Amino acid sequence: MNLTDDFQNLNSLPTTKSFQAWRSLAQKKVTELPFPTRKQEEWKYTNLDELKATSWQSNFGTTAIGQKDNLQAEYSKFLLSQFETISFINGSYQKATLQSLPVRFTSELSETEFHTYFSSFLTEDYFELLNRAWSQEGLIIEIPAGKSYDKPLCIDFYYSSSDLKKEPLAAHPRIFINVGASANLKLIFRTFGKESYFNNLVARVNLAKDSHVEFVNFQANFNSSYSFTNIDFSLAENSTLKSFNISLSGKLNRERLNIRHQGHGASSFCYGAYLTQEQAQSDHYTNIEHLVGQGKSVQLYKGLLSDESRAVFNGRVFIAPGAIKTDSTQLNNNLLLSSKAEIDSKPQLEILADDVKATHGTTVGQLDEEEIFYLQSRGISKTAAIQLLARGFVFEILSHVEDKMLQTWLKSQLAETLNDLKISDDQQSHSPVQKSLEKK
Amino acid sequence: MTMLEIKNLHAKIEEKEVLKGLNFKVNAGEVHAIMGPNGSGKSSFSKIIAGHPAYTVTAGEVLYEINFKMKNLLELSVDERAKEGVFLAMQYPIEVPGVSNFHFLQMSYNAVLKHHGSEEFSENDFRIFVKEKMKLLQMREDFLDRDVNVGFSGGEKKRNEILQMAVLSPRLCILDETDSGLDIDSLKIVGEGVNKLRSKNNAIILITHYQRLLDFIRPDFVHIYADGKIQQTGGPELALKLEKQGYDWLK
Repeated sequence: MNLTDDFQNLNSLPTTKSFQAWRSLAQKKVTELPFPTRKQEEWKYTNLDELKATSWQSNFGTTAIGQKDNLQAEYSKFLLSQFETISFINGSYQKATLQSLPVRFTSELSETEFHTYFSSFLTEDYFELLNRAWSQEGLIIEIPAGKSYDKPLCIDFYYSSSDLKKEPLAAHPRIFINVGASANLKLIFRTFGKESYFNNLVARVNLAKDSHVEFVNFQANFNSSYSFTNIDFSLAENSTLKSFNISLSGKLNRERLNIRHQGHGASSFCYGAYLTQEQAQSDHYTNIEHLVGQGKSVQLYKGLLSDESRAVFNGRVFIAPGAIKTDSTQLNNNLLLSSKAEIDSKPQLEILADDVKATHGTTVGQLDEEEIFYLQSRGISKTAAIQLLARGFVFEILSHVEDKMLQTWLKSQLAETLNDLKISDDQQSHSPVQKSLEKK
Repeated sequence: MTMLEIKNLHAKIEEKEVLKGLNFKVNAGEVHAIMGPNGSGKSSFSKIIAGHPAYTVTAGEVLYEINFKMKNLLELSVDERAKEGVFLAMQYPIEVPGVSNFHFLQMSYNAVLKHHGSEEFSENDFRIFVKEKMKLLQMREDFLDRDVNVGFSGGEKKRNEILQMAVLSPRLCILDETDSGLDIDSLKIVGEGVNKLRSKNNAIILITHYQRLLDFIRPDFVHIYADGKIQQTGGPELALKLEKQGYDWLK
């Protein structure tokens, strides 16, 4: 079925009035809106025709899948004892995985509580609306003020076909996280699986005053899958966010990252590493809004593109009038390992305040022949040399991960992908481009 | 025994001819100095021996002894040459961000071991081994954990080159302007390091502009190189003559 067909089955399931009303609004709007095409600026470099043409099915209910022992056993191989894990298997939340975490569900909310999490405001973003239109249950996590979790909290989205009919599955999970004042949270989203699926995730994270969040969005998808993450961070005074997007595989991985600096002195550090192969595509849309002054934002995205793969980096930085002493940097570096790979990098700076510092730059290039020669002249084969250099290039991103255990795990995952990297000899020369803008 | 024999070698980079009929022979146990004016293409010669892809050999041959047979070196890839004992200490060592010096050295050493059918070194064993070699060059251990040549001073980069040489124990060592950018103390350390690595089984070719490195490493032969070939060959006294009279008398 089409992504916007047949909300009837969903709407016949029991739910609260306010939830139903909230969802209906989105259902109405998303049906009216045209499906995004490359004519829209945000989708200029990403083709969604196949996503649109595919017939998807939804997974209703929350417990059915959990009873399938095979699937549980299959999935459990990926669990890591160092992580506190909450899992969604084939789009269904697994109650069995609930640990001692402060987790709640939207269905448990009172009317008043409902409105604190669900705003009736209708976004223009198609996939966020789609998520809302298909919403069944939301997960709410409240991290109390001052609380610090040593173990990273891992939220898994795992897909496997074992008991499902032929149509691939589309799921629309929604997550709210409130991080209390001075609290500390390490949060990981992992999306992975063994068949075609469309994971259309929406998450909202509020960072209260002086809180600190380290977030990793880890995408190791099946090669015909779509994984969209629409995540929104709101930063109160002196809070700090470190965000990592690690995109290793999948037909189309997209992250739409919105960060609103709402309190003075908040900092956001956004890092991304994307390793695209074959005909895969990785699409990054970042929107950093400095609404008040004395804020700092850093963006560093590095891509390693092989075969006929593609990547998009669309980075917007907005500095509102009066947001003085804002310090913002943005850098997107790409290495093309094949002449058929393509990167479209588009910085977008909107600076409406004086006395700010904002820089951005993009580079596109190949591995340096002199570096390859140097390593080869020490007995390292050309393939191993290229792998080593590629690794050095993307590992820089991981050096910023604070949690050592998490860093080690990510390194091992990246190394595995890098070892499988195919090296093509047809590297063409592209001249690197470096732009910089400073406004004082 | 002859280790390297170069006959009438011609080579070019892009359309520029850099070697114009070079003849050169090196025996095991010898130290040769190749001296010449700046910009005469001395570095091109060393890069061609190492197999730099930017150069094309248009005529002549390079024979190198492998298992008591003279083989055509030009048929081997860059890494095969290295695994057979050809080593080039570069004039401008390359920085490799994101790759630790330790990891690089271990990979390099294990590649050579593997090629010769020996068992590769574990991380622990290699660490012990490499630390010993570092003492030779008075290098601090933290150099191992830094990225290859990144943030190294000129002198540190050159020492790192000789450390690689010490680790790999190559048979044919070409030191390309290893003395440039070195202060006198570093020069002494590097010179002494090289002397300790000198043996009857290996040969060293020093490419240099100045005499001063030769105060520390005494060569058996000195060659004057200009215009793409060897112009004159002599003993250490030739270097002293160059020091006094410069290169102008050659013209």
